[in-house]
Amino acid sequence: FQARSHSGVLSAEAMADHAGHEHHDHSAAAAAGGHVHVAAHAAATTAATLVANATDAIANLAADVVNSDLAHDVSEFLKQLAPPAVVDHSGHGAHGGAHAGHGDHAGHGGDHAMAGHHMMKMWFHGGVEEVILFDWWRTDSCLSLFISCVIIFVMGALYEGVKWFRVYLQMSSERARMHNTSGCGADSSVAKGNGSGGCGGDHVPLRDVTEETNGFGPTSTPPAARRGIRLASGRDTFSWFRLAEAALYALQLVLAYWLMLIVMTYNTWLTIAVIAGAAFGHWLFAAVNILSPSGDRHDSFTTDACH
Amino acid sequence: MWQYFHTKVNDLVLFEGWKVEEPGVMALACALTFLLGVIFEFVKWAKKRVVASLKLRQNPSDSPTPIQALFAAPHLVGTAFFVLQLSIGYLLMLIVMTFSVWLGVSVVAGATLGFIVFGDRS
Repeated sequence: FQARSHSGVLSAEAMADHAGHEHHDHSAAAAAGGHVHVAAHAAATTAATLVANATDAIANLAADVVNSDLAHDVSEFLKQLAPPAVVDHSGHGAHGGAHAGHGDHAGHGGDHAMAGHHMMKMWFHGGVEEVILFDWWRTDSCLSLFISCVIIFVMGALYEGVKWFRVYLQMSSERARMHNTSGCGADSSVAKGNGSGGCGGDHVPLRDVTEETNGFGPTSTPPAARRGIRLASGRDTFSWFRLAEAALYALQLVLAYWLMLIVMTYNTWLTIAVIAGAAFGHWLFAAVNILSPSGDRHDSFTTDACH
Repeated sequence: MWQYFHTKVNDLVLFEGWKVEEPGVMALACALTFLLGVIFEFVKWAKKRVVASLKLRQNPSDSPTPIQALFAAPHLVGTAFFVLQLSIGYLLMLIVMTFSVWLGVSVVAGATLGFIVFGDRS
């Protein structure tokens, strides 16, 4: 009886006491005759109290939601998705001024650690105002955001291109070495997509060659000759080729980390630009995987710090 | 938290107590980060080496089923190395996320040196 309506659960106990108290009084007063009438009256009062308490509870809950951080954040998000209005623009001006002051503050001093900036919104949001990687790379309009997206798109494609280029280098140097060992002599024209090469007859599948020169895979080549192969192709620890490879690796790392940091702005447009650029680059430069059977294996060493 | 690359020495690195606010401390942080980058490439190399040698030592006539291979030594050890590699990778990512130019350069430099020494050379 007390908890029939679920919204009444909140104050059910108080209700129960009240109802019990009333019921007790009334039933004590009306021993014989108007028992039914009294009971109905009690029930009506109980129901009214129930409704009143339920309404109070709902009102309190609604007030909590409206005043909560969640509602504030949602309304902020919606405001940012809306096209910039006059009111927003004037707000932006004040914000811009405050920002300049903020920069001064960050310049001289740090009583609090990490020169407190306005809170980073660690959730995906729309909006055109972002700081991207550098203090001077700030977007404050649709145009600047769009240009930034184009730049980031190119960065994403470039990242995939660097990965592709490293694979391409590996494959062409492998093929050069393959032809060195089979006695065909150094052949720069070998650096093409096919595996047959200019040596005619002895076509060794690329996969076998890579395992042979792996250094710790099953091989019949004696260690000395293996070492000779390595030196001959300039794959010494500190050869120029190795340094160039390392420079490419460093470039890949830098691009990967910068793209990660851009996604970390949690701006949906910038994130879309990163993904679209990487997708486009991946599509464009996937030719090397299509053309070569051992392209898949090379993915293992084009991985960067995280994946 | 910083939102852009900076050279100002005012950072918090990974843990609550690891405040870097002086050049000397920053130099130490950079050295450790550099070392971590080298270790990252080392772990990648070590994983390849150990797994390959474990596979060599396996009986070639065994040809285990996929389920058996799942619990065989090469895969288990390889997984352990993978966990180490992944963890170090995430640590490096978090260090880059401080947006400190010094620390970011240390990460890339350490990984590059590690690549020169331990990187795939086939």
